[in-house]
Amino acid sequence: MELPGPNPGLDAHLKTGSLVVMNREPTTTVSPGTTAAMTEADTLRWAQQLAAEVDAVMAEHPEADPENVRHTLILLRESPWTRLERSLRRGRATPVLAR
Amino acid sequence: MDERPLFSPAERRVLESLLRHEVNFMVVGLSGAVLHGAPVVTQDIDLWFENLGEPKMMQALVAVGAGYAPPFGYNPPMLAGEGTEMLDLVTHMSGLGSYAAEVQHARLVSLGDYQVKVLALDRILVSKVAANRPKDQLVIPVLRDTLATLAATKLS
Repeated sequence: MELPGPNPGLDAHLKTGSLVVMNREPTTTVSPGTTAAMTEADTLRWAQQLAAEVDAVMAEHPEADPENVRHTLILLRESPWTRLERSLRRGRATPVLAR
Repeated sequence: MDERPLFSPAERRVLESLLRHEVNFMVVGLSGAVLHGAPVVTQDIDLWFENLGEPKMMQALVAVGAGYAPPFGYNPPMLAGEGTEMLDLVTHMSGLGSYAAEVQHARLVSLGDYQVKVLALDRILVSKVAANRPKDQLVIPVLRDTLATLAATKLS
């Protein structure tokens, strides 16, 4: 089974109405810090959609930390390479996790 | 923050050579968890090979000017040469079975033009719980929440 990069499973939820998912087309993807031309409306829409996704996960898993859920949902929008590169870059700047 | 790609061309060549030569290995540990979407940080990419030092592995490394240093004394098995600096070899995983057993739980993740096997996140969590070092204890709740998120989004 292949684990996808960008998250088609979330798109499926969009179709079923259980989750609201942002548009991930390259020209319209909005993610703070990654799109220079992000408008205020984009920012608001992105935050609302992400919040709805977090709420949906928390409804099924109330024991989860919503911050971890939010960060995971954000990372699932990125490619595996990007996730790994960001993690490695931050890991090397985080002494507490030094091997 | 510096957003240039972290992987050098040499580092990409090593990984791609291992995949091109169809060496049997999978990404494990926190680097594997990251590939599944876990919001954790790590310093290295942990690779678990089915047969360390097997001919295919040696050919893949030689093809990119790298090499394999078998364990001796207190030194663990290591990769050597340009592009291997961030790759750590794993010979066993706390709380888990053999490579052959655990690879059954692996998922395929696309990395560029290749697909790499990554140990399933629930198995990575099992290994972290079993190891239970202070640095493992820090990430166990995060991995549990990532699993919950993937389950809720039907990606687990």
